[in-house]
Amino acid sequence: MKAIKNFIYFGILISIIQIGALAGAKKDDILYNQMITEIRCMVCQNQNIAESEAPLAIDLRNKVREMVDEGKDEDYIKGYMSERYSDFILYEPSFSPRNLILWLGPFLFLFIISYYFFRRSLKK
Amino acid sequence: MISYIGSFIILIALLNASLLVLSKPILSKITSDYDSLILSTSKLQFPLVLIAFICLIVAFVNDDFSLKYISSNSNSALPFFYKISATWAGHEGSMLLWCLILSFWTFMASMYSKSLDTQFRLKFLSIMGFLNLGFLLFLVFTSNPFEKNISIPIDGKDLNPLLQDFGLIIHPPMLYMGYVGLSVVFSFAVTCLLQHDFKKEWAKWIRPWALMSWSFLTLGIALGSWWAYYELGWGGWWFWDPVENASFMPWLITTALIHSLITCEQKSMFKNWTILLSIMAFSLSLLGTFLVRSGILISVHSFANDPARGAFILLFLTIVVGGSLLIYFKNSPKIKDNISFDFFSRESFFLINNILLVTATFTILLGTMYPLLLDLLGLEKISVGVPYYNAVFLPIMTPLALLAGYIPILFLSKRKDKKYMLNHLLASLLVVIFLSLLSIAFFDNFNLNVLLGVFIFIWISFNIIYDLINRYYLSKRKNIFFTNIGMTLAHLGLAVFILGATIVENNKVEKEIVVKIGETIEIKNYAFKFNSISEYDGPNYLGVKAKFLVYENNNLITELYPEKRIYASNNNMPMTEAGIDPGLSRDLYITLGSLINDDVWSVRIYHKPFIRLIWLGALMMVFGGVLSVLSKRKSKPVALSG
Repeated sequence: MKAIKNFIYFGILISIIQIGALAGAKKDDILYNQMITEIRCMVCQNQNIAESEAPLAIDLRNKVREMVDEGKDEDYIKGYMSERYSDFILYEPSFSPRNLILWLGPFLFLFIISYYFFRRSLKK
Repeated sequence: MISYIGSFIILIALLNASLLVLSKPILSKITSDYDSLILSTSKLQFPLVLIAFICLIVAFVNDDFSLKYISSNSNSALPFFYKISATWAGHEGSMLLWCLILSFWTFMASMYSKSLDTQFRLKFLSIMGFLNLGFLLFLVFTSNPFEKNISIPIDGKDLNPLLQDFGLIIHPPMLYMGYVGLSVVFSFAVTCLLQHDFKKEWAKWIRPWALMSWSFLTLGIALGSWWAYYELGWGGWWFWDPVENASFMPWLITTALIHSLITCEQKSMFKNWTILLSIMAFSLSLLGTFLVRSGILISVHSFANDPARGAFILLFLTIVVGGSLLIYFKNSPKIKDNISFDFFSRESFFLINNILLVTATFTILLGTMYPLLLDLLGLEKISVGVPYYNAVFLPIMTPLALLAGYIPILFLSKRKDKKYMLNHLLASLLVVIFLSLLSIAFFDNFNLNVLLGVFIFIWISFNIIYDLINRYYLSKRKNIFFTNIGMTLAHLGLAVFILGATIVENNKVEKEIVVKIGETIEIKNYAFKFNSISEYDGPNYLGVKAKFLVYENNNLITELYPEKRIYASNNNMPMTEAGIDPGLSRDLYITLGSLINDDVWSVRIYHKPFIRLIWLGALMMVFGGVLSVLSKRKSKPVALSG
């Protein structure tokens, strides 16, 4: 019982840290820099469009700049890109059923392995 | 001529490795003197492969383009040192380097294993021999660096320009020393399974080997990161590229291993778990090789790949990993392993450390393999990059970093007094929070992430140093300082690394700008004046070099010379050489983009605060690891380490 209680504390600790990490507010000016690092250069080998000097990357950077100036938000820009170039262009996989294992797998793994070990080895 | 000697010696080495593998199961039935054969063949392997390796180097220096490998990775105009480093720059040569290092570790294992039981030692060395044999077969059948060209070309194709660089001369050998060092740990673990036992003394014997591999891995990864930073020209230090992940996974597991070995040695707990970690660590090294060498990854690292190689490594991987796991599930129940402890105990926190590290490894494995799996199932391809790891990996690693600062407090008192420990925790927490808040004054762009980074840095360093001083005064044996300095340094390195990584990722300034000769760009309190640009001839390339004058608060502090180079061998693709002014508190980094017209260029300028702390932290970890190994050798009595 005590072990379970300790786990809950542990879980709460992790959640607090995660919320803290997500809480960093996104200003409009930062959006452009963030977006160009999260969009893949489709003609390069694993480079984002911020890093690449390929013509396509330069075009896409300009397009992102344009959309940010028009006041479009992150979701719009991402939607625009994935519609034209498929999800492969986004470095952040969408939170869709297809990617459920990818997103939840690590936390599920953490829970199962912790439960297994502590249940087995804590003194009763 | 020299290449024939090389080929011949490789075959001898192959025979020698076969003898090493077969003498235990076969010769033991005929003669009782097979053990001296095992001991001598395990030592002979290293000089043999070394001769073959030297042959290849000599062939490179002599521009022996009759060899396929040399004609496709070298050129008569290539500078002398790059001719030597080209030996291991391509696939075939790097596999020969892998074999060389494997034979080196086998040699060391053979030399320093006298203290082990004879039967154990012989089995252990035979397994090392099996690994040697496997990789030599791979070398000979799919990646022979001594393969001849059908017709001899007049000149070679030249070495990939990205690899003509100092960082790349030393990055692969160091990384391989780490990867392959894990083969010792792996063979040892499998031997334990075969012997149905894992004694305390054995745990003590294997830990320095795990620590050495860990230190080399750390150094190799840090060198790779440093190289990517200055050579690839976009100022990043970690890309979550699949090949980086491939080296990071064994590192994380080995980190877990060196912690669990402590519990194993001192409390005789987690024996089976430690064995499993040892198997996983080396298996992930092999998986990394498979991923890189088969070419199934899209990555900047896929310089050489071939499906036949992938098939061979996959087969070898299946035999080694599948075989060892099979033995594990069959034999591990026979190893007595009584795990039982309180939640507020050292064992418990070492377990949490292990759980978090393994989960982190699983996350990276998932992130690396998931796109491949989707692709294999015929579903739409996806990319998994930085945003994913920031969202999933960091929350798992943050509690681990907090734990690294908490464990020392936990062991301040020998009494198992929870109240005392909680009070102590609270007190140090208050001090650290106060110091972290104080640090806000020193940052112009402050956010929650930076605060968390600074907090973790102060938290770990404060507690670790406090712990060191405390131990020194409390302990009767004054050499305690020396036995713990390695551990202290490594954990401080982690703290320094975290500080650097958080600050640079949150406070870096990047500007991409079009600039004309004579113009000045300002970033923070720095001004960059584009002074001039000129062309010049390099040994095997044409270069364009720009000159920037850099002012800090209107005082000239340095000149930077970013370049563009065109290597004829590289289909005239321009390569970027950054101009960098390094400093502990910030790097200034300029790269040339493209020529807009006459004297107008697009340029990228970066201000990277505290980026050097990333590699400084890694170096501290490396020295910490090495010091731990050295101090273990010096102090005979079981040291109170942890």
